[in-house]
Amino acid sequence: MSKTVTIDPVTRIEGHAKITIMMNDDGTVDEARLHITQFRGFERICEGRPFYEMPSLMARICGICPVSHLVASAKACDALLAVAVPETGARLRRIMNLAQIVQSHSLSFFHLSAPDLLLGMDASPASRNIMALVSSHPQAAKDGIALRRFGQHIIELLGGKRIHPAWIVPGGVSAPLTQEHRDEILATIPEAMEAVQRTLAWFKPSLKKFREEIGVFANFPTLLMGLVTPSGDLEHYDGRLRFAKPDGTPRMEDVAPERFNEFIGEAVEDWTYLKFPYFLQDGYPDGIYRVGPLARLNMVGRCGTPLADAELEEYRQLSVEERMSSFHYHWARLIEVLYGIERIKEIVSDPDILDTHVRAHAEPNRSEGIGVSEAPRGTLMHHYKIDENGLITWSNLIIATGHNNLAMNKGITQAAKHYISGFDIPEPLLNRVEAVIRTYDPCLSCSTHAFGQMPIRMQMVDSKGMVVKEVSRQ
Amino acid sequence: MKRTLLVGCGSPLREDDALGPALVELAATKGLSGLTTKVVHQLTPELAIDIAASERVIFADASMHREMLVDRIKPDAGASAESHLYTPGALLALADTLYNAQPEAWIIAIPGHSFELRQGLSVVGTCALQQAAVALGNLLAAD
Repeated sequence: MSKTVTIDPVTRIEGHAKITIMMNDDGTVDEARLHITQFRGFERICEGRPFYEMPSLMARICGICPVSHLVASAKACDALLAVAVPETGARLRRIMNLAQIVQSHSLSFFHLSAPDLLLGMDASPASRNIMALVSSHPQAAKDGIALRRFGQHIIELLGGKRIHPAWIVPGGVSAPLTQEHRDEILATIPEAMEAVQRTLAWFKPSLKKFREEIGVFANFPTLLMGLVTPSGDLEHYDGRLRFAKPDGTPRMEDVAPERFNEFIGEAVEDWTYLKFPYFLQDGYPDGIYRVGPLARLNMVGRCGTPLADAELEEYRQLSVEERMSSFHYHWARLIEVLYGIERIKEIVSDPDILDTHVRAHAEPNRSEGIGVSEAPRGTLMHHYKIDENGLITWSNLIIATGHNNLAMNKGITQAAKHYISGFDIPEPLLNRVEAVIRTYDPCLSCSTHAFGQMPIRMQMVDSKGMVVKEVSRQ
Repeated sequence: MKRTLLVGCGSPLREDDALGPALVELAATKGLSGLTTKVVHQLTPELAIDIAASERVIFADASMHREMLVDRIKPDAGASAESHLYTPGALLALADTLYNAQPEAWIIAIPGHSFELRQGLSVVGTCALQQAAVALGNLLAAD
């Protein structure tokens, strides 16, 4: 009789989910599935609301990455107004987006994944957490806190508060950057830079301890997707949308992000609330692709800042096959943190950043608007339609975690098949299946637009649907 | 007055869940020297830096209990932090272990009545806020 293993809740992620592992009668794994068990329906909530409320409304989707939603939503509203955001306004938005990426990546790396990386995948769950890490590796913990604070402080300086700032508005931003705040941002750069460089210095040599995990943590070729600059470099705010082959070469000519609907379909399965976006040309489910830091760094020409480019060059010493392992999301995240700090320094060092012309004003000039930006976890798409009174009649959001849904499911199947054999499964092996999900840093509140508790769980089920083993950690 | 950090935790979009932030707002209008305030939706790790810079920290949050609780709290190194959510005790442990700081710490748990998706406190919550303000005043005056 075949059986199923369930991990429920999956821990140290942003959201509530469950993993089910379907077992064959001979004790081998048939398939693993990531079930997203929360639902919110933000698209419906905003119907009938004035379009200019959308950035603030959409930011409420998530307390971790509200800035990402603010940016994409404001860009969709810019398109409704048909205005060009003043250059300084766009650059200020870019700073806040980068600060968001730095703080979010730091939370993922240090607080959610570092316990596995520094204390070991085999450590007992009771001692494999951030509090244990604080005792055993205080400098790493301090660096994680310093980088979180760096990003959050910039968001607070620009937006007036850390969570749900209403500073990014349709047409630009609501207030310019003051010289005092500019100087305060510049003063925080050296400490943040030291923290991420110190982290890269211990992380890279540690990779040799994880050869087995690198080999089976969602290590398979997929397409990659994300924004790039017109010259094909790293881009988080604007640019062109690229679909790339595993080796990073474009699958087709880069397109305007507003055309995403021509290339992305969304499939639905009855066992999860999270949709499955796929590359239309390859159909479902073959049109699997990945987004986020790993995809971005695997497909861009260069980062465009000196220290991050040096790190990218070292990262690219890996073969294309090795770079397909989702384990390397961790490395890519650190390089993007370094890039974010460098780029913020570059932008705020320009005297023009204090220009006070930061917002364009207009009435709606179009009935449909699309905004696309890069969130920490990948490409974020907001698509709105309004009536003649500027009220929202329809909206659709495609969130980074959704883009990765096919890859996450295939990834946990690969890891489960490698680590699980028979029905007596030690916890460290289940932790490795969970850790595959953590490499993507999924934000399930965002991707289902759901709210509530954050954990996941794992279940083993036989071919008749009977639960034979369950691991639950709240 | 001791260098004091008052942290108000909660969402202003969920009625009485905003009791912590409302208490902070009330305290901020008094212009007390030595009092620093912060409003947060959740307790996140970087708060440990602010805690470490304080001689006293007071966490104010809405509670589901009927009675207001004003209690001394201590670092809790055994607290679980499986996501970005931290408990006051876990944050005190971070401040202690990483920055060698042991500020006096208190929690004011303010009884909330309604937590629906709505702005503004309930009538019961508004009364509780006044009680919490008295409790906060007593704490601050106890130097």
